[in-house]
Amino acid sequence: MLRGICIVRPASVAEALRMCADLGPEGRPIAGGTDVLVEWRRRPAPGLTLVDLSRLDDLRGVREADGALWIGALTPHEDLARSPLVHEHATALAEACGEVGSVQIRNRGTIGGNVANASPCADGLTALVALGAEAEVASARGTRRLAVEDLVERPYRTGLAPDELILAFRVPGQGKGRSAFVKLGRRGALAIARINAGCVVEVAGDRVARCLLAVGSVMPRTQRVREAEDAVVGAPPTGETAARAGDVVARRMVEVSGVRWSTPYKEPAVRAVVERVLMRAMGRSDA
Amino acid sequence: MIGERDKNRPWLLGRPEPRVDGLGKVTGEARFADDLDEVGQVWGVVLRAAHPHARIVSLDVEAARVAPGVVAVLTARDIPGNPLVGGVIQDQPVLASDRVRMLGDGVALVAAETEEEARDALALIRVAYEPLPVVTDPREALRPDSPLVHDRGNLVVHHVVRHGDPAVGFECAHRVYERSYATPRIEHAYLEPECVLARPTEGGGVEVVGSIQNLFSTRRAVASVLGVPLNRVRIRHAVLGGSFGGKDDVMTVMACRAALLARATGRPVKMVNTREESMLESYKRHPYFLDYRVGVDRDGNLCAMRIEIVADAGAYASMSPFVTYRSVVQAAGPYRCPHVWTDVRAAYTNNPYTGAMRGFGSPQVNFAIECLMDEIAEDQGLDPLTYRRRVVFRDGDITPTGQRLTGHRVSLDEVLARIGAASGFVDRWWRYRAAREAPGQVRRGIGLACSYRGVSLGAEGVDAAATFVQVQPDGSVIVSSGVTDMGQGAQTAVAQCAAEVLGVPLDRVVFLNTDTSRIPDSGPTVASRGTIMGGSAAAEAAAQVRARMLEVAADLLREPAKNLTIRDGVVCRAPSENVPSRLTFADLAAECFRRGVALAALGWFQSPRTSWHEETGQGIAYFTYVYGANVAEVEVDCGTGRVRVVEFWSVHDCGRVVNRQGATGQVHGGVAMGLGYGLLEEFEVERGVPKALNFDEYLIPTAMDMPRMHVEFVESPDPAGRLGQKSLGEPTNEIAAPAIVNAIANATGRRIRQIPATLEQVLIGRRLTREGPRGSEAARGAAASCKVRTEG
Repeated sequence: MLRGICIVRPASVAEALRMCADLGPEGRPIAGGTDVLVEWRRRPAPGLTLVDLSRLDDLRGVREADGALWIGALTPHEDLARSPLVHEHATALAEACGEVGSVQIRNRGTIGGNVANASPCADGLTALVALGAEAEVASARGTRRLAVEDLVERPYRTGLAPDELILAFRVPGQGKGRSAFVKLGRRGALAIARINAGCVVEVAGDRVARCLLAVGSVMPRTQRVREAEDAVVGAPPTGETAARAGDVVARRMVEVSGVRWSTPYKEPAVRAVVERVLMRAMGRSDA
Repeated sequence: MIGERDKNRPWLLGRPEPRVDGLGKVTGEARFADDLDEVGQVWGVVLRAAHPHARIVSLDVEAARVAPGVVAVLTARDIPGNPLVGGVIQDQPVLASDRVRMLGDGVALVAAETEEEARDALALIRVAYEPLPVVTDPREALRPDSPLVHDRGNLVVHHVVRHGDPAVGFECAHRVYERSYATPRIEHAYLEPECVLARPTEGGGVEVVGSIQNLFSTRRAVASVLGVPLNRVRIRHAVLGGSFGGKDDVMTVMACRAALLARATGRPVKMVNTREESMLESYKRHPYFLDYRVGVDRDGNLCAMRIEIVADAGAYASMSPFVTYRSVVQAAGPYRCPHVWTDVRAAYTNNPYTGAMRGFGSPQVNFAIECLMDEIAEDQGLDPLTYRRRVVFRDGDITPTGQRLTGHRVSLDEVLARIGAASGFVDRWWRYRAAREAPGQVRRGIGLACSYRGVSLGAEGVDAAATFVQVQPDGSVIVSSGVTDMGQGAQTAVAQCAAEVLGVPLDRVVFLNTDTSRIPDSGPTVASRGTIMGGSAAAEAAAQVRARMLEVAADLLREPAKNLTIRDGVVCRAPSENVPSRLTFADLAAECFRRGVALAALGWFQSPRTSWHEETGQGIAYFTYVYGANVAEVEVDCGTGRVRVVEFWSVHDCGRVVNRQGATGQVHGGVAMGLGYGLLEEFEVERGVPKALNFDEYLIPTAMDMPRMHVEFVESPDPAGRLGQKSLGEPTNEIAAPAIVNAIANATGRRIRQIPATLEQVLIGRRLTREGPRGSEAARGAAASCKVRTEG
C-alpha cells in the first residue's frame, strides 16, 4: 500500500530545480523509482513530496562532448548497456549497467538514481568512480561539478543539498586506456553485488602507465583504492601484478571496514574479483 | 471396461497437447483468488504474535472495535466450535488464546470496510505478553531440560525402520562411513500469496473460494471450527498461482478465520496476505539433521546402515508425522542393504512450523544418501554411475521396510544406463576429476544422483479419489475431479485421461475447478497423486460412459460393440484395423441423449493395499514406486565460490507419460526448485525471528540460473495406474541438489555436507551468517531486518 503519496511533476529542469528549492528537505526526487518506491513501502514517509523527474527528457541520453562522454542522469541502465558509444568509451559502465537487476529494472532505473541512492553495492556507481567521472549538480542557486567519488559520503548518503539534483555525468576520454567491470552476485540476475570492481588500465610498452581501480560492497562507500593503483602503475601488465593489487585491496578492506561477519569470505573473494577485473582491462583474459 | 488392446495402444496419451487452462492464463482471463470481489465485502486482517514464545497476559480489543470502518474484531473467545486445527494432530489454534508459539501465530482478527482501515485498527489492539524461553534447535528441543512448546512434550513423532540387525551387518564391514548432513528450512515461494473470499450462507454455513490446495482438508477444519456439518461448508477452488505443497494448513487457517469473520459480520470477507505476512506465517520445508553410519564390505556391497535423523517441526505438527514417514521409508536410498535401522524424530520448536513441500521428506534424505554413495564409489575406485549400477534395486529386491519390489518394473538400472549414455557421464567424471589440478580458477564437474520414490500416500492413510465425467448432447465433455490444479497441470492430465478413454480430442473437454459440494472427498492433492488417482478415476468414469455409448453405436452401425472403439472423435471399427465409420462422437452423443442413455458417470479409484507396522517399520510402505536420476554439470569459480549449473540431464520412469509437454515442464520446474535448494535457498531464523520476509533477500533461482535441460522418460506402464501412469511432480525435485553438490565435489575434490552450497560454503567450506540487520537497514536506522508487526 502506498498511501498518502504526494507527487509533483515538473516539465523542465528549471521547474524541477525551483520545486526542489521550494520543498527543501520535504522533497524527494524520484526518477525510475526502483529504489525510492521500495524504500517507501518499507518505511512510508507521508510528509515527503516526490518530485517526479521522469518528464525531463533533456536529462536523458549519451553524447560525445569535448573528448568526453556526456551522460544524462535520467538515462536508464538498459540504454547505457546497449549504447555503442558507452561500450567504446566507457566499457566498464556499459558492463556494469548490463548487470543491474533485470531487464525490467534496467529499463526503469537510471544512472543518476543509482548514484544518488548511494548504496555501497551500486554497480553503476562503481563503474563511474573507476572511470574518474564527474557529476554535474545543480540547484536554483547554481551549478557545480564534482568527482562522483566525492559525491558519496557514507552508505546511502550523498553530499547533495536537499535542493540539488544530479543533471548529468561527464566521463573523461580514456586515451589508450581500457576499462572493465566485474560483478560477483549470488545468482545470474536480480542479484545485489556481493562485490563489484571497475577499473581503467592503460599500458605503455611493457608497463602499466595508468590505472584507476574502484570497488563496491567492500568498504562503507564505493571508492578508488589508490594503494592498489600504485602497486599496478609501473609494473608489467601480468597476472602477478593483478594478484598483487588484489592483495592490497583485501588488506585495505580489512583496515577500513574492520573484521565483519563476511570478512572470512570477502578477503579471498575480493582478491579474485580485483585480479579478474584488472586482467580483463589488460586484455589478458576474457574471464 | 477398457480392453488390454486399448490400454496398450493409447492414441492421445503421451502427446504434448496444449494445457486446457493455458490460454486463460496467458490472456489474463483466468481468475485468481485476488481477482474475485463481492459486493458488500469487508477486509479481514490478522494481528500476529510479537514474540516467538510468550504467554498472553491480556488482550484488549476495545479501541480497535470502535475504530473507523471496523465491522468486527474477533479473538479466540469468539470461536463457536473447535478452536484447534491440524491435519494429523490437532494442535494449532486458529487464534492463540493464552499462548503464542511462533511469530506467525494469529492473536486477533479485524474486519473493516477497507484494507487500510482494517490495518490501522490492528495497531489499536493492546496485547500484553510474558515472554517464555525459546527453543529453536530441534535437537535441543528433545533434551529433557528443554523449554516445552506444547505441554505434551516436544516430540511430535518418532518413526523407525528395523530391518535386519546392523550389529551383525557392521561385522562384515571393510570400511565404515560416519557422516553428518544438514539441510535448510526453505520457503515454497509460490508466486501468488494466500487469498480467500468467504461468504455466509443459509443455515449457519459458509462458502469459501480461494487459493486452496487441499479443499477437503480445509472443509473439515472450517466445519469443525464453526461447529456445523460438512454439507454446510462449501469450499471452491480459484485458479491457483502455485502451491508446491504450500497452500495446505496455512490456507486452512486463513479459510477458518475468514469463515469466522463472515459468520460474525454477515458479510463477504476477503483476506489477502502480503508477501511479508505470507513468508512469516506460512509453513516451510523441514530442516533436517542427518547422521549416517554405513558399512561397506570388501566387494563394495552395502552391508549395514544406521541412520538417525532429527527434523525441525516448528511450532505445530502440521504434516510432520507424514513427512517423516516418507523419510524413514526412503532414507537408505534405492540400494540393496540387508541391515538397515533408521530413526526419524520430529521435534517442536518456536520456529515457523514446517509441513508439506514438494518432495515431502525425500529431498533431505536423498541429499544425504546420494552424497554418501558418491564418496563410497570414489573410494571403491569406481565412478559414481558404475558403482550405483552394482548396488541399486532390481526386480524382486527387498526394501528396508521388508517390501518385495514386484508387480511393476524396477527400472532404475535402465534409468541410470540412459542418463549415463545421454550425459557421457563416466568419461566426463574421470576427465574433470583429473583436471582438478590444472591451472585456471574455473573448474568443471559432473555429478549424479538417483532415487526411488513411493507413489501417492502409501500407508499414511485412505487413498481414493473421484472424477466426474459428463458428455454433453453435442459431444463436448465436462470433467470435474476431487484432484485440484495449482498450476501443476492436473486439469490437463486428468482431462487427457478422460479424453483418451472417451476417444475425443482434448479441445472438446472443459475441466471445472474443484468444488467440495459437487464432488466426493478425494483426499488431498499431494504426494504426486493427481495423475495416478484423479487420472485413474477419470479413466474409470469415461469407461462407464463409453461402454454405454458403444452399445448405441453398435445398434446404429450393426456391429458388435466389442468390435468398436472411438478415436479422435470418430467411432472406429476394431479390432484389427481402426477403420473410421461415418459416426462421429458428437452424433453418437446426440443419439444417446435422445434415447435417454446416462451420459455421465462418477469414477472412483481406490489405490491398491498398503500396510505398516509402527513398532518395526516393516510393511508395504507404498503400493508402487517410481525411479529417476539426475546429472548436473557445473562450473565452479574457485576464486569466488560461484557455481553455475551449465547442463542438466533428468531421466524419469513415471510410468506411462500422460502429457509429454506437461511432464517436461514438471521436470524443468522441479530442477529449478532443486537448484535453489542446493545452491541458494535458506529461510534463516534467528531466535525464532525470520531474517528475511521478501524475495529481495530470500533468493530463488531466476531463468538466468537455469542450465540447458535434457529430459528423457523411460516409460514402464504400471498396472497400479488405470492407464499405466504413475507420478512425476516430486521425483523431479528431490535429487537435483545432490547431483549439483556431487558435481561440485567432482570439480573441486571437496565435499559439502550442508546445503545450500552458497558462495561462502564453496569457497571457505562453511556458512557465514550476518548478525543483526543488513547494511542498508542499519544505515537507515531501522531496528530489525524484518517488519514483524508488534502490538501498539
